[in-house]
Amino acid sequence: MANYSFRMYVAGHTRRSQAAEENLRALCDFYLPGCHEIEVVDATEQPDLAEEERVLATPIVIRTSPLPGYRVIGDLSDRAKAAFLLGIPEVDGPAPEGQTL
Amino acid sequence: MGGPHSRDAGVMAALADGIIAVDEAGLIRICNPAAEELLGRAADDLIGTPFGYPVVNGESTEIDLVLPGGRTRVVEMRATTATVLGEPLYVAALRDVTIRHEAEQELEAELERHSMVIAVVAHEVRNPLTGIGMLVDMLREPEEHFTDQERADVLDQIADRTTRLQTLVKKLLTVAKIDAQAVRVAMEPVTVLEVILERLAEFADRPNVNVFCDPHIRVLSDRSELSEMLINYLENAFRYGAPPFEIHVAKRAGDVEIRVCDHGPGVPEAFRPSLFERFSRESRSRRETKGSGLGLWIVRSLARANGGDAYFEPRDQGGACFCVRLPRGDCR
Repeated sequence: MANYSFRMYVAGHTRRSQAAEENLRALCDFYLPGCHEIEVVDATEQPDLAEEERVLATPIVIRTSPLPGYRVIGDLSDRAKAAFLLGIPEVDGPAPEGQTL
Repeated sequence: MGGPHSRDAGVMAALADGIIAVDEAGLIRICNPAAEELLGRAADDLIGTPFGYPVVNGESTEIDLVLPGGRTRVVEMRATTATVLGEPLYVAALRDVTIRHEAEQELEAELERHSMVIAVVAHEVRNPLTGIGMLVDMLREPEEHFTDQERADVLDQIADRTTRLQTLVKKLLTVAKIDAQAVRVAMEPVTVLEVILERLAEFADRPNVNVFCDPHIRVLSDRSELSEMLINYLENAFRYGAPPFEIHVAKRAGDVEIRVCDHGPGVPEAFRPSLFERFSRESRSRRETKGSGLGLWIVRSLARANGGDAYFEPRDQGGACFCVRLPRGDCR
């Protein structure tokens, strides 16, 4: 399976940003075990990077590799839908927390 | 923008929520003026750029919009899909919750203030009322025979508690007036020494106070409010401080500084930052003994309404100085 890389932008250390990061990690562990990388960027600490990457809202996850760079905005608590919109290939087994696509 | 876009944008402009519709590639196809406003960016700067697919689990979720310059704004996002002229679109409806959050915080603070007022009133009113009730019962007791002196002493105690209640009610009315922003300041040049002497005359059996004040110094202030500020400072000094008591009045640049000082134990450093807050922790702890925790807050509120300020200064040689600064009334 190809290696997937994601960059998540959050705004500060809020409950919202923590939840989004946890959901992304759980989603990747479930669908892409052992073949993903996650980078978390605080848009308030690195506004230039956020502007350069045209981040208009957080939490947002951007699939940086492989392209295209799909983006999903929200806390990713609907992990199955988020995985679908991030273009992650479906794998066997139940979706996390019993959700289905 | 093309035909269908301008038509849809026109419809969306009528909505209060910011609307952003992205196509299957995640690029912004439609945004309404409310969305421009929320994002701090013009539609021309937004259309065709990547936004992302909005995903909401449940009815809505909160997200942070990243504004130009890196500032953020919290909005509530709802997500839906729509097919416009055969093209599937992901639609994010954004509602500014900053105002709602602020209103909620204000409401919480207001409720807390109200419950504090009730707690203070209950405590401060109950004690003297209970005392008055007991003293009256004592006088009514048919078996008791009082001398004229004993009867006079009991009546004095009743009068003392009644005065305390009247003072509390007056303070609460001032607080209500300040809260309702109904303080109408009638600024006039006021001779400070006159007001000091008037107020000192009001305190029965008060300790001696040394006044250091040029008789010609005047402030620009509402006379009754200057009186109230002084009364609160003096009550505070007599209640918590120790003699000798002093009032110093001096000109400072365009202002006049009035300092009410005592040589008591002073104020613990930890309590100083919150001294002038309403029902501050210091005030609350004092409530166990006496005091409503309103006096210093009233002084600061009135001082600021009169174009000045109120503050605390520790004394090197012990004790406390409570100061009020007001505009000079003799400036030409």
